[in-house]
Amino acid sequence: MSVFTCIFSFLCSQDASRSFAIAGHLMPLCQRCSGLYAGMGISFLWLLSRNHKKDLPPRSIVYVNIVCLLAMPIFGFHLLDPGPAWRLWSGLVYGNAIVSLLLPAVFIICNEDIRSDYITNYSTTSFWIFFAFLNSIPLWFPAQSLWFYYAVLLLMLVGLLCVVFSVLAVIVFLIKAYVKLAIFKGSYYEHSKNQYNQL
Amino acid sequence: MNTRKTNIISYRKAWIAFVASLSCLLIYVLACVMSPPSWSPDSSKIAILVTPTPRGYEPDKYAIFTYDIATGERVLLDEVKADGLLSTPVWSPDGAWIAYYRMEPNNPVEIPPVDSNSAPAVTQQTSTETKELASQFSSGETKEQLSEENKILPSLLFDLVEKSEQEEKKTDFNDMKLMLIRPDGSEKKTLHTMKWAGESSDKSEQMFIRPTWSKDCKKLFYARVLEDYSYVESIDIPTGKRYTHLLSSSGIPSVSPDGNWVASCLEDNQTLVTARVDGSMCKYIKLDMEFDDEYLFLFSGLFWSSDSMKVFIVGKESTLHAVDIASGQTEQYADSDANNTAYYTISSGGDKLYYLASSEALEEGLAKGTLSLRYMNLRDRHTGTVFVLPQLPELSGGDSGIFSISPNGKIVLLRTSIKDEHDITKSVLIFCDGKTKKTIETDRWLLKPLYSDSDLIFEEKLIGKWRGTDGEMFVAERGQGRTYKFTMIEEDQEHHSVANLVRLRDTMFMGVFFDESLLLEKDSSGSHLLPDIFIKVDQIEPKLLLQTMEYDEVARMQEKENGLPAQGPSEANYTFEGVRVQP
Repeated sequence: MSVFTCIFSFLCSQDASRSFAIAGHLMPLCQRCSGLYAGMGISFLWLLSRNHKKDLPPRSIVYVNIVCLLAMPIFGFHLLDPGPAWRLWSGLVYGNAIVSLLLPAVFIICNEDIRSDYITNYSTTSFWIFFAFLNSIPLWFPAQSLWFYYAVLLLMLVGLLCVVFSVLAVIVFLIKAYVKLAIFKGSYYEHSKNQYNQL
Repeated sequence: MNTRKTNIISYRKAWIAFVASLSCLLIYVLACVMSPPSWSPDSSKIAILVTPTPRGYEPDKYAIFTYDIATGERVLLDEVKADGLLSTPVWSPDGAWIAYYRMEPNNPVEIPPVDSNSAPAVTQQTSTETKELASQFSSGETKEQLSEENKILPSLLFDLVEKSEQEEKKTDFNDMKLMLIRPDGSEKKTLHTMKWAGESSDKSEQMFIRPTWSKDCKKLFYARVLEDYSYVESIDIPTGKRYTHLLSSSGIPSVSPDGNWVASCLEDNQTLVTARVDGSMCKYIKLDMEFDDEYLFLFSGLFWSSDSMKVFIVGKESTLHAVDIASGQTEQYADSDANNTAYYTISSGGDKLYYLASSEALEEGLAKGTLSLRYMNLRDRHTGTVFVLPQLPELSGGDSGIFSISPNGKIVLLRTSIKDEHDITKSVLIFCDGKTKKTIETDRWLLKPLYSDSDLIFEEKLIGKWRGTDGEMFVAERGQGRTYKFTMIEEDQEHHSVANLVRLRDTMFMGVFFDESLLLEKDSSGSHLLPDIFIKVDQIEPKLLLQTMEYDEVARMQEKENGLPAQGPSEANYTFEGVRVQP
């Protein structure tokens, strides 16, 4: 797993004393970062499955996500550090909050022209069920199985790729928009020039 | 509100959400990578006792440094020369202080074998207090007077003196200070001064004795060494109140994470002593295993589990055992995937154990086979490998090295001595983090620069090819910074080095560096002014007369008024005596 260790070494301090060991394998991320990337991975899959990626969540869910984001400095800067389960929890809810905002935002930005065609019914009930599931993960995590280890690793990679994909999508959209604008400006200029010449 | 307006508002919100969520992630990642606040202090820096590369039995110089592993910066915290002593330093858990023992040079009072006609041998710089103690001993004054001086252990001290008198042993009584210093050296204080008794030859062992902090950093547990025994005591730092806890044969007490228990062991290597810090209970647990007494002395061979219920002890052949202090039952902790394990370190969180594992025997602290850093979850005993150590350099004969693992399980430090390409033995620190290996020489740390950049001179006459009786020497200008490049040819072998030419008072010296990079990378510690050897230049023409001198020799001479030898030809045996064969 040295590839994962190498990839995540740019993103995490990889403090081995604060990392989970699953079935004799040390996770390539600390407990909080494991929670963060796993949380992002789970949320990404959930948003995809529920077709919720197309619109920003309702106000009540946004508020919950903001609270989750604000909780991170308290745990992240060790003002409170009650143990591994709490570190994982703070990472999970933080990751969920980031993806819940990021993914719909990217979809709206990249589909500016066609957005009005989509009308989604963001189910708050399903979100609360999902949120409760996220909060229950630290109670049983980790299961000591090699399959579980690989599953968590995959989930964390999905979480990371979700962010990378989102950023790339916005960059591509901006480049496209810029090119479009340049072409449009160019044709407009040619058109104006022709009209001026005719006069 | 029309659809277009709704779309624009939603679009703006989407951008806000995008920027906010990405910023949160970026801040978190930067915080996690750049500032690991969970690290215990000694995982980013080390506090280390540096002594010269062993040339004899006892070091003649001791210095405590902090060394930043990432930046390479070092800070000298304290130093004493021959006859004094500094112990291994210990960081407080909050990283604010470093504790250690300090004995002033020329401090001891020798208590000679009983001879009523002879006066006690008292060294010149002995403190008045110690002189009094010595005279009390020699004149046989009462036990009460002694108890006034040493409230806690009068009877034992007296018995000890009587015993040493019977055995005709020379017992030294030294004033040992318990010191605290800030890691940046900004504040230093003596917490307590006590008397240690022991033979002068015990110093090589005493430098490994170190105090222990309580987890809340309010108490410091220390040992008062009396020959083969130690009284484990503690001092409440805010109030200065002192308490006695137990008698031990190891001078390194171990304090439980909850701060309620202190543990040590007795010299039979089978008895574990645990005592409640409040003095309400003291247990002597006879074990069905033997401790590794050397391990207990040199390393932390005794440490507590995170729940303060068990004491881990390193037994013979570096095996690890856990003793339940309630029942006294012993249980061995072994890694089934490793043949040999050693150098156990408990993680800062207390839930993991780090150790070095080898497929072959770990002999005298040095592994013969491949070494790996492994961990064990203390809760479920799951084990795994953190990383495999890279190939270590060939170590020099006597010194096999000591390993140390950082409490965050990321760095392995090997402290040893190696021979360089010039066959010179050097003390080094080798840091391995699984990806990189960093080797730092420490001998130079003990040197003080004898000159500054402004003292450097340059002599054109020195440049050229010189032929001597034992070989030839090329001297060339190195181009910049008033330095020379040397090539010595002896028996068809070329030795390259660089040198500064410097005038100390009226004598000209060349400061020779075997490692050219020291002159290229001028660090803040002034390593570019600390040559490996000095060569006294007695004459350049018509004959080049060079005489090699040790760094310490030149330093000693420079300290004295008119101490440096005059320049010019003398009767001395020159290291190089040659004539110019090529300009």
